Amino acid sequence: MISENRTLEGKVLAIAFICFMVLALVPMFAFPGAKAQEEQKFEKVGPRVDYLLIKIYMNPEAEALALKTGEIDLMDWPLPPEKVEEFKGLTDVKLYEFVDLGMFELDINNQRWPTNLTKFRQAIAYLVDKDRIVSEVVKGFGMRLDIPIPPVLSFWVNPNVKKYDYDPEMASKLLDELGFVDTDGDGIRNDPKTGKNMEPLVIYGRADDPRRAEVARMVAKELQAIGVPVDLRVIERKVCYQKVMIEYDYHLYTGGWSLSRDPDYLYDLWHSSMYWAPEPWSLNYVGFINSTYDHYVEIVKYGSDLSKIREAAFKAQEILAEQVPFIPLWSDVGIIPVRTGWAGVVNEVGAGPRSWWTFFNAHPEDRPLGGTIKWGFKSDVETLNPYKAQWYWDWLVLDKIYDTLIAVNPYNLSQDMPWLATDWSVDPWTAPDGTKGLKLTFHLVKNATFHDGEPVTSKDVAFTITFLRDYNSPQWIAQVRNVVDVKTPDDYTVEVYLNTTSYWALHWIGGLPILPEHIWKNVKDPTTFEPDEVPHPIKPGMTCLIGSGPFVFVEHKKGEYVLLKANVNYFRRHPGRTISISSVEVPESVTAGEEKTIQVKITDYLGNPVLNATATLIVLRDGTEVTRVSLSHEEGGVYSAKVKLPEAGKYTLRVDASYTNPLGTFTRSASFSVEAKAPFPWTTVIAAVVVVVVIIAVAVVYLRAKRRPTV
Amino acid sequence: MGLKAYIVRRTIYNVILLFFVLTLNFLIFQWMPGDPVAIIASSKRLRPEQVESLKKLFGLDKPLYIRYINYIRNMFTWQFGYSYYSLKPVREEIMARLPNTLLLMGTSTLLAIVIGTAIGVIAAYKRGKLFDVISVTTSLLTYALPTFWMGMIFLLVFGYYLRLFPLAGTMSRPPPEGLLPQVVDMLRHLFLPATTLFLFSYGTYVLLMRSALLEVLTEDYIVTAKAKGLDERTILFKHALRNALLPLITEAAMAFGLLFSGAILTETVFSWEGMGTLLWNAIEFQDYPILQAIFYIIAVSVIGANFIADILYGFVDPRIKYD
Repeated sequence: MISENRTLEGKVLAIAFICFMVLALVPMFAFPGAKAQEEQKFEKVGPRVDYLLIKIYMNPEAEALALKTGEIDLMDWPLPPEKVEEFKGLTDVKLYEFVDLGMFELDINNQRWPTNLTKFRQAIAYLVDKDRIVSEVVKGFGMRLDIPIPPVLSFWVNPNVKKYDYDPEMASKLLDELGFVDTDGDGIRNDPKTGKNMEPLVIYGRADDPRRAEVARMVAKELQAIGVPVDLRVIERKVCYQKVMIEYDYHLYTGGWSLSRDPDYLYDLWHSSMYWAPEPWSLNYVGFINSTYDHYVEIVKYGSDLSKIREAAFKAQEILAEQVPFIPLWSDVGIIPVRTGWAGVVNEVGAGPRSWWTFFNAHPEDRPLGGTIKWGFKSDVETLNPYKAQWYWDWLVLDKIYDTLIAVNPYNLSQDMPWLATDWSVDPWTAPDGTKGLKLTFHLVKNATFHDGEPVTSKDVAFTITFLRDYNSPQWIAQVRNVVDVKTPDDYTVEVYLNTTSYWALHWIGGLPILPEHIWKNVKDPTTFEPDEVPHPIKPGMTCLIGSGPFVFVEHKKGEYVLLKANVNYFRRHPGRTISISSVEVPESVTAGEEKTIQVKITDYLGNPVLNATATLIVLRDGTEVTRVSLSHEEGGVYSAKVKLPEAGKYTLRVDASYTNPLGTFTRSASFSVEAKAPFPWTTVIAAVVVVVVIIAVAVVYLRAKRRPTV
Repeated sequence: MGLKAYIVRRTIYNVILLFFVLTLNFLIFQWMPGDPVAIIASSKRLRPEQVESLKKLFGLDKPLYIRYINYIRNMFTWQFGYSYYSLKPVREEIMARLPNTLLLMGTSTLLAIVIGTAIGVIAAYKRGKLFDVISVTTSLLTYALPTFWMGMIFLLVFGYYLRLFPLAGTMSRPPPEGLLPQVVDMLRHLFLPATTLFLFSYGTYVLLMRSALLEVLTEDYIVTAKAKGLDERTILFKHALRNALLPLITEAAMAFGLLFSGAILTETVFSWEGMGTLLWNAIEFQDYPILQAIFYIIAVSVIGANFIADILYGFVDPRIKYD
């Protein structure tokens, strides 16, 4: 019997899990999977594009056509299998293949007769022809699953679990052993409890997903073929949800899960504390209750030793394979097309080319920076409030605007990478009441700023954690609910104290979007706050939708588009994203006191001449400013000024240039060394010549006078 | 009874009708199963005080009769409350989409009425001839074709193969510079969805006008007019058409009344953010305030359009008395 408290606890975790599921789809936090066809390269500076334009197509067919015409550069969703061949024939489109971080399964009600019998469930497992499902139903765009761990999480896959290959005879044998035998010869097996014909098994199939509907039909047919009556209901998803998850009124259901990179979902989905019947709705709606399984997944969830966690996860998989509380079927293999002409596309494991890194790295093939990458969405965003956003597409936008402390290697999901945090440590900590927990210490980068120019400090991180926890963020509560305290010893160090020892706590905190305290501290009700619709309190033209991420929010037109621009002040800005100052006429040496024209050329990051820069020439001697003049634009990005170096000596000519384009303001300085030489001493020379001439003249006169005969 | 008295009487009747519709619109959503705030609270994981503030926001903390009075007052003052789903004011949600819907539906409806009627008149006049056969067949065909299918074909042919029109949206991003280029850009976006809706609906007017006119053309007074030696044009437009207009007015009134409901399928195919998609999403997410507001607007516009049609009858056909 599950206690009330445990039930509530479970619910909290359950919803947390759903939040995490959503997160799992956000490339920044998600786990890329599968086989990367491209060279596994990505760079940690960016973004290279100027703009990210997201165009919304309510009609997926129109989105596919838009990709073909070049109206968009990539899609947000894998192609349906029937379209793949058509796209393969296109020369201006490249297809990226990846294995999805998710699973489809046949859920079994473990609490209802007769599917509460392990042998009965095993019999059903022998009736499911997974290979046929993959080849015929999924049309090859899937990978067979025998455990609930997709192939992309290979580190956690136990290769030695029991497998159920299609074997109707074995299924019949198991049912016979249980006493489900057709005693009256009418073709329907009799129930050993009542002696009458079996009651039909209620099978729900999802009408909105033809593949899942087809699997339900296949299973129904197989069951009928061995004399098990069925009541097949291929029906709208809300009805399925109501009947399966709310009322538990089913035997079999063709379910599906998006999963996270951490295997603690083995706990969240099938631990006995996650089954809350008779209360409506459970994550463990299959009603799997097994104390041995519970023991192992508790280690998976709360353990702190990776090798022990892995060992426990392997054991848990063995139990699942033996007990068959559900039947894993397949993981999707997705194909996402991208227009040619783009370099830097990252085919992230589990997410494919729609990876966060693609938008951070992509650039036109013919130039290293600039351009607009256009991304098709088949859904509009619902809210751009990171506190409450839970829609998949909301986070495809928000994760470009808000940064996290830790990033994930797109080709190796188990590898955490420094991002806003340069490094971190995880230490044991004991609360005053004796509870064992963890202390996470993060050291932050010192050059990160929010889009409005305010620095990102430890205060913002601490505020984010406590705000999301205290306001019970629907999206993030699972990650912050164990936080007991947050301390900020200095502006760039955060200490987070948790009352859990879970190995995964680092990912919970490291994956939070960091909110600017100076904006959010004034938010009275985060549930109704729409930051993209509220003007920034100080910066004209900006909204309160500001983060420290690589893209800055520009505009959202409902149902039409979302426009983001590159954050040119990003702390991981691409080094090429700046202006260049080159010498056109800067002599290495000049004559002191003589006026000289200095000319420099200013070009932007695309190599185009900048015509509207503000440039100042500062003359420095021994680091001290001697004089400064403004440079004026002549033509073609060439700026000039006249300068006079007063005395002989070594000088530095520093050009400070500033240029504003729609992305923001770029500033740069360039220094040139100049030696001022003393002017030629013409006066002395002339004086000397005059003196010499005079002396000579006097001498000549004297000598002539001396030679003259006296009378 | 004179026109004034008729208008007064009809106004009173319409107000009563509106009250009836409003009450039904209120009660239906009260009878719907489930507590809307509980739905929101469970999906958004709200704290008890947040749930209470939501209840206050939606006025659900008050007794039923107070809610009804508030509801009636709000509906008459166009204060529709807050969306359960987005938590934004319903009026804001509607106003964000209404212009798009009016542009699309208004254009297509107006074109359908004008062009459909004109074709119907000519078809009736040329009964049995090639024009009649082609126009009737074509209008029946386009009426019978599903709009989403027609829309997809248009997208494929004109948007993809010929690249004459954009594939989605109401305007390019970034929009072109200058007012005229912007208008042209919007018309380019409008062309395919409006044409789809026009082709779907113009047949109604062709067939309606044609059959009404054919009936009138066999009347004695038309024979008399012909016997009097009046020319065909005068007979058609002055004597026949005016009398055949009555069913058309009813149909047009209904069409204008439904302008505000949008066109779910067409809007979806062409990614045209309008009332149709708002309505669909509201149904999907059980967003009752949005549904109440949209149903109310539709009811008001249908009742209003029919009222205007009733008045117009008298002007078009003097034989109709306002009694």
